[in-house]
Amino acid sequence: MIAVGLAFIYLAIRQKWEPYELLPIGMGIIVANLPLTGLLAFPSSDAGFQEAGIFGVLFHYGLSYWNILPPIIFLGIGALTDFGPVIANPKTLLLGAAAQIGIFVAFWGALASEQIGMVFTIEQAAAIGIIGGADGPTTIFLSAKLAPELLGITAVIAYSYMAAIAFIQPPLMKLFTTKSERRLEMLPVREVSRVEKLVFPNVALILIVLVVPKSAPLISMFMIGNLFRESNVVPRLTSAASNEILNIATIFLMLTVGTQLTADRVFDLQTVVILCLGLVAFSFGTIAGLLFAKLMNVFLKNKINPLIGSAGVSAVPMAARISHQIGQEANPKTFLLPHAMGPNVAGVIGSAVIAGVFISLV
Amino acid sequence: MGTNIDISIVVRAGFLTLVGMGTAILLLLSLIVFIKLSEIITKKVMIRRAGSHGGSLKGMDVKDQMVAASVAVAVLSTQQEVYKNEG
Repeated sequence: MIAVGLAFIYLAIRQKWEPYELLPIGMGIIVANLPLTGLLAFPSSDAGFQEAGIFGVLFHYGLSYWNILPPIIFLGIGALTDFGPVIANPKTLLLGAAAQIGIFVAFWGALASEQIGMVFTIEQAAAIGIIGGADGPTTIFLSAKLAPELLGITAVIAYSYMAAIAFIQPPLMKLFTTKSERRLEMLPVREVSRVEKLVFPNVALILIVLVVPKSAPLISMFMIGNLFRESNVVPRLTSAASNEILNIATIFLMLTVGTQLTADRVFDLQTVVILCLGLVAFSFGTIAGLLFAKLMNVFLKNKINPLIGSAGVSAVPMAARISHQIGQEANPKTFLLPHAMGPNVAGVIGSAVIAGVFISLV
Repeated sequence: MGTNIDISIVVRAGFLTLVGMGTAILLLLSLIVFIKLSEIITKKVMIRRAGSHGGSLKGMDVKDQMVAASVAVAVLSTQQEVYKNEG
């Protein structure tokens, strides 16, 4: 496991694969697998609190007991997100929804793996399925609630696949679209007024939380962060949320996630199965987004380039950049980045909503 | 390994799938409707604001047109005089 930790550090530093996530995860793995440190201990009795290790405390309060670290990350992400592309072309929200099909493909795949002798409970299947949302904090949040024993594995797999999305998506995008579809130029996005950008997070927050109250920790922090940004009256709060707070939470969250990857949990057939299911989830999410975009074009007068459908897999902003790059390869005149940000951001909302549904009903 | 399927889990999973995807789609559709409505309202407000300045603008257009017409008449008259003198 120490070698696995070192491998993650190598991937982060040398290959620059999601370094903000994989570097602290790699260090957490090494620390957790060194013997007799007591760093992961969290005593169940009051008498032993002074015996608790720092990572035991971080895991207990940050994740398993209060589960506050992922919502704090979402505050920072909200402060960095621009809903302009979504508001300018709202039908791209549906592409974000379509790409969440990957979650349920992996969910059913986890339940069906009973046929090969690997039995997952419905809670564990939900935690595995949410990997398909390609949203790290949402994956961690849901796993901590429903299947804490799988937290480390699902989180690392989610972030690893997010880092590898540049390898996973392009072949599927080329397979499921024709060259003429990839060459399609889209009309420039309309200008969005400040009022629209101010009203949207408020309305989205109220609507989503009323329908799915259990999504409130993630959605409310996301929209609060966004309102800070769009208000333009609290620049220090916006700056703190998108820099210091986000970075501090990232450090503690990723270190804690890494410390959950002990040898007994990782070197297991279960991990290989989850690895395969994660890949299936990402792939089906990409394909569903592409095909739904093609379906929408049957009804639309102003066609959309189907490549933006794959950006519904909410690895922000990587998936949007990949849509843009593949589009540019086919036609240098096509500029898909602003269009692809719509489904990209919608995917974040979609996966948080589905996580809320899972928490409510499982 | 076996092929016995627990029907209760399948039913529960099916229910979760329907409710999960259905909720996500319905919520996002609602947001689409809201965004379209806010776009229409914003446009109407902008048109009304532009329209409230329309009276004075029309007046200026007519004034500008009269000035331009006067200048044109003056230029044509001068040119006519020049041709007459040259002819």
